[in-house]
Amino acid sequence: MLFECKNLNLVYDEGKDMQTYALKNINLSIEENKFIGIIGPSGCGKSSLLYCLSGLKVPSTGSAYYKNISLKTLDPNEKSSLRKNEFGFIFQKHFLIDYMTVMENVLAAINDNSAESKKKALALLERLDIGNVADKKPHQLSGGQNQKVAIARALINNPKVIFADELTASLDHSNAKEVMKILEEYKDRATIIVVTHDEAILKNADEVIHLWDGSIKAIDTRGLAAL
Amino acid sequence: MKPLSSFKYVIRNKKKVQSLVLSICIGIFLVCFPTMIINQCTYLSKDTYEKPLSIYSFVIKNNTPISDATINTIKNNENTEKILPAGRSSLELPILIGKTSSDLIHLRAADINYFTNKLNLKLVEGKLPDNNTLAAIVIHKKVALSNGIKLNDLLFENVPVVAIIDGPSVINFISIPRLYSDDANVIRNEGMLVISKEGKIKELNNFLETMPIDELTVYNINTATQNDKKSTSILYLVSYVLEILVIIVLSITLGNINYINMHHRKRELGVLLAMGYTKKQLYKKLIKEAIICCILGYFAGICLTISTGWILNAAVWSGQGKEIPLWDPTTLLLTLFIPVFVIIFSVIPAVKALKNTDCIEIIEGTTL
Repeated sequence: MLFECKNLNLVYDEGKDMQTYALKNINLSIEENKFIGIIGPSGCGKSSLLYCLSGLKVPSTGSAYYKNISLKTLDPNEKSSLRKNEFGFIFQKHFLIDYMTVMENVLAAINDNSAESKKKALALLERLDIGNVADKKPHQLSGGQNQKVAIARALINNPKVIFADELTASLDHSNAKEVMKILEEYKDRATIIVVTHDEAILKNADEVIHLWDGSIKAIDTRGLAAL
Repeated sequence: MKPLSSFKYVIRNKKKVQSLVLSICIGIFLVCFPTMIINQCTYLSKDTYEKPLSIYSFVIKNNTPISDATINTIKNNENTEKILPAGRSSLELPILIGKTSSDLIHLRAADINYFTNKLNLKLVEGKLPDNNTLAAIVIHKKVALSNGIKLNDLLFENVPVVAIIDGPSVINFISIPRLYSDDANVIRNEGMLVISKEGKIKELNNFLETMPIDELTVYNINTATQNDKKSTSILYLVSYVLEILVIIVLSITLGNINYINMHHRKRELGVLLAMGYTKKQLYKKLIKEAIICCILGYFAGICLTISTGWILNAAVWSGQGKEIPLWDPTTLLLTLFIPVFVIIFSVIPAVKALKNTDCIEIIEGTTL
């Protein structure tokens, strides 16, 4: 298993009278090179689960395992190294660095400006149909183009896992569809974990985890397309 | 240049960093320029007293005439090259921050020629007095310029300036006819210049300090250095206080600017943290950026000071013989404390802010 969660709980306001469970008794396994969707209404803990899986958040109790290693046992530097070398992140907002060009933003994930890396970044941008804006700054681009740059940035380090949190939220329908199509191309090379409340973008997912109020309500192993 | 290079940040964020660079630049100027003006005083003091006294010492009669035995002991000392009958007074020397004085040595005309050669002083105007001349003054170019004295002007009511000399030692001479009359008597009742043998001034001074103090007072390089230190220590104290004030003001101001800049960069740093950069790597990046800004500001401040000094020297002060020294390693080292302390103190708030940064809060938009 690539990921495993065992009795994972994430509690906010720990130690206070009123505790809020962001995640409650999560048990799940995720295999390599799968397209996983995490779906549920706002505030159900989708993003929290993604943060726990990626090591950005430490569960209150229970553990998340990556390649059979408990993320809890890793020190901050090891977690950083894991995120930098094996994970790629796409967030709801693009979080591009405003003083850098598109090309530099993509390369920022690996902090490398070698000709080889530039060539690879340009290929990614061209695949995303934004190769012509490589020298532009984020403020000169549309929202959709910026999100594509963020995707290129997440893919530049050849991640083994791509975490995408509401990546299509700021995109129109056609752009969302296009972005998902590109992301799905990486299914054979990486595990893609997409958090969304939009079922439409998960039609090709291998597994869809339905969350409700911090708990797993159901895991659809056939994907929504098969329903 | 790598995407996350600190140089790239500085180059791409000129508007953001210009306040940092300009503040350091002005701070350096505020410390450096007054220090250079103080240096004009101390350098001139060295040129006026310490440089000439590196080859001779002055022995002045005290309460009683100097005895022949003492004169002979000094004359025959192994470190003495020559003794010259001489007296000593001074000429006023205006400087940028007040007035000082320059030695006016009373000598025989023939000795003036010998002495100017000894001090590597060059005749730039007029003619050195000869034995037939009556009282005449030989003046250093700096003293002439700062006092507005020209060749043939009369000083002390009726003594003409017959020559203007220039060179590293700022010293003036007056040839007085009565010095010719009786060498021994002049020495007994006024004093003498004791010229040391090459490189033996220290030994000569040690010897002169053993002479009877009721007969003579020795004025040598040690006395001059002590006087110099006394008069300039207060000026340097002002310069140090100014530097400390500049460091405090800049550290607080730039610390706040850095904190605000840091706040504006939380998204950038937050997403870098999420992507896998460690806080340590980001601290280094922030510190490097601060170092680059401070170094730029430091060199800009030094350039501003030197160019301002150069313009003022060329336009005003050279004509008055009051040039400030433009290149002083001590001042450069002294002002180096400004960027060093400012880097340390101004980076602390930024580093503290980064320490408290939680990338999840930034990604979720709760801390922006």
